[in-house]
Amino acid sequence: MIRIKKIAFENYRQYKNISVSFDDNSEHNLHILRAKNGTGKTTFLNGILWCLYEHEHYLNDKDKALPIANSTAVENTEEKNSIRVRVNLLLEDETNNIEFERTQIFTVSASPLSGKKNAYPGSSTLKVTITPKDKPENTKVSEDDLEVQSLVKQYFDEAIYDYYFFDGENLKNYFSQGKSEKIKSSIFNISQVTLLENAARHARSMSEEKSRKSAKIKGDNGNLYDEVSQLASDIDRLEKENKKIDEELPELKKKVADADAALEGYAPIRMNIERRKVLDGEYRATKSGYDDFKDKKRVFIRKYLTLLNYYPRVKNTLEIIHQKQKDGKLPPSIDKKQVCEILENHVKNCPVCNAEIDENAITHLQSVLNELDVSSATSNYLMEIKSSLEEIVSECESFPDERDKLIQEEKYYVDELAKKELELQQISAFLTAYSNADGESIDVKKIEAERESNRQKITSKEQRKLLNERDIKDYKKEKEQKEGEIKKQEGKRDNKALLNRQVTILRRLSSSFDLVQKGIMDDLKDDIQKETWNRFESMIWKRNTFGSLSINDSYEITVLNKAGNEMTGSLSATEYMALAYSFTLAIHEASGKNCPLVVDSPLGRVSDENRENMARELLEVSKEKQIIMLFTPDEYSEDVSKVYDGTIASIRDISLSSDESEVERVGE
Amino acid sequence: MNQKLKGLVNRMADDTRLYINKNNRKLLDDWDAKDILGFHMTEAKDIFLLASALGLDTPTDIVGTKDGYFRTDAKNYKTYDKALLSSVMLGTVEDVEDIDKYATEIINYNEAERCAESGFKILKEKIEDVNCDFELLEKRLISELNLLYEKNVKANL
Repeated sequence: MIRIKKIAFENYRQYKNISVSFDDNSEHNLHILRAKNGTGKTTFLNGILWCLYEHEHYLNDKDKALPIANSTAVENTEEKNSIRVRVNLLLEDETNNIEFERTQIFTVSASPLSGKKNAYPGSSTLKVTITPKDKPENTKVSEDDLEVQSLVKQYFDEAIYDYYFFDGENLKNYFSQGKSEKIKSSIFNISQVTLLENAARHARSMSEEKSRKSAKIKGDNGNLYDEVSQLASDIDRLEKENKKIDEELPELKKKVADADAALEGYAPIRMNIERRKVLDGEYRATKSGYDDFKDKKRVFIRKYLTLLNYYPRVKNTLEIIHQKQKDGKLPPSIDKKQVCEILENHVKNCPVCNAEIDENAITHLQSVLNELDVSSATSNYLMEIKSSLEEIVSECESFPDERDKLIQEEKYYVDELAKKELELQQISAFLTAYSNADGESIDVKKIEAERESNRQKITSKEQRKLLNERDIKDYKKEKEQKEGEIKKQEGKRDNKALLNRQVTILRRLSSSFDLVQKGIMDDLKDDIQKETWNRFESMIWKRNTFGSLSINDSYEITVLNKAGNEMTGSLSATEYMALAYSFTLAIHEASGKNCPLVVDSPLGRVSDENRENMARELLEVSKEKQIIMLFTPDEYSEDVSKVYDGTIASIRDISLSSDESEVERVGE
Repeated sequence: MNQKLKGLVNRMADDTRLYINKNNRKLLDDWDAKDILGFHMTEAKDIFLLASALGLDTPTDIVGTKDGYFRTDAKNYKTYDKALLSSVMLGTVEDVEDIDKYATEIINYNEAERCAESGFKILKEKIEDVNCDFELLEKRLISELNLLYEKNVKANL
């Protein structure tokens, strides 16, 4: 059970310096404070609310109310001095003493016209001190805003403050629209169902995020696999073809060599064959020279593409150097950098001769500096590159000669090759048309035709082989790239599979959380419904009217008669109050924290014999729960006093001072 | 220091290493594989010089990662090469009083990197334009050399 041990006020409205203890000295934890209207009954309740929430929820009109700071204290305080307003609420549960203390400092100032003093509020602070009963040395003090708010929420959630600090005159509030949602969220919060809701929401949002990520990953390698497979097959085909060519070429070359040998052995055409041999050799040598020339030509293109583009800048650089040299400024006889350093650093002695650098020397050095316009470093730099620049300029200027030589050389190769090719063709044509005399053992025409055919086959196959080799190289490179891509994609696909697994688990998890949460919510609602009905039934004298009570998922209450018809709207004020008490106590029960109940006008709207019934019922409740009731003397009527006098823990009266400006005492 | 120089110095990284855009590596591998213009047998510094020459009038910043391409402290890097790269900025000097500021490797090398960045793009376009007919490319470049000579050299002789 959580109970209020003491409430202390300092300069809080009419409670200037009052402390009220609530001792645990009776079977019934019921305390009654009696006060006439306007004495400070509701202020007492508001004091607790202000301490916990900084809001005085039961203040009728905040704007027209007196300031929080006690008016006598304000009057008695010098201008510009401050007043401390403080409410201290000391609770206890089975293991701890819990102290909530709100303090607010007000600064007093007087109106220049009327001289009336006013108190201007500073910020208020709430401190929560938790002291373990068995280990007071482990006391924990919290002043951090979030922490203290969380502690307040644990004990008296502000969302349902009026279910802890009850106003019997204000029953309409208990079942007003919008209230049920607050009750629901507060109950869930207290019973930690919200944790499950948050966990489910978190799991859902994670699963959605992972699902989005997974959808973005394109794990389909279908085309790439096909392409790699196609490339592999092409490479294989070309390699086989080249292998076949390699096998065929020696045979073809042998046939050509055999034909040459056969033809060479035939005297009438021997000279032609020998000439062809020479020509073949010369052709191959020229061809090889031409290939080398082509490399030379590419070097020429690269070189002059670079030099001719650079030429204007090279020329300009060189002209600057030449001009500087012509003007005698390059290389400089004096180090410009050193002169600058002497002047900038105010060097006192010359680094060369150690002579003192006086005013005259400085003037001289400044005039020298004005004449120098190239530093030694620049001079060295320029002189280093000068001859190369001259070489570049000269090379550029000799471009036409170089180009012409190149053209001539190319022309030579082209002409030579054409000439030799022509002569070879003529020999071949001669041999192909050659007619042997009858009866000769050699058929020149046929052999030459076959030789030419084989030679063409060799040329064709060699070319094919070269082309295949180039394709194989390209295909292999492409295949390697695609395999790299596949590897990358496979990594992504693995990641996609992992994400999908995580999505499935998270979805299951969030569904499970939802199920557990729904189970707890249903149980809670059923418990509250049952408890509300039990309490309501015992408080109401009509035994044959009410049949049942139900609470829907939004925590809205419906009371049904025996015939099953709704009659919530037809409840009398007494019945309405009984319902409010029943529901309040059921909520306390369901929250798992047996908090105290502070009630202003506890039987305000209850009439006749029902007052006694309800007073007895609340007395019964006070065996398990602390109840503090605030009555006016009229409300504390004979039928009530009959039940409470001599039974409950305390009955005290709140009395005002003679000038009625403050509460003077709370006592027997 | 004027804005032009400040910009160059801010970008400077190293005076012993010249950089190219990392994305150009693939391009160079491809040209090397196809042996375009004999690139297969050409040193990196000569390819760089060619690219910087083509982009001399249109330098552009390297966007993205830079990749070290060749070192200026290597044995094959000659004064001849340094003279060419030094003229990138020295060759633009209008006021000879500014010569001290331009006669440093860093200033010239950084600008040469920007020229090469642009030059690689120009060369790529020329290569793509001939659609794998590299003999045609060579013919076109020889014609270009003739025009360059007429415009840059002969006109200033």
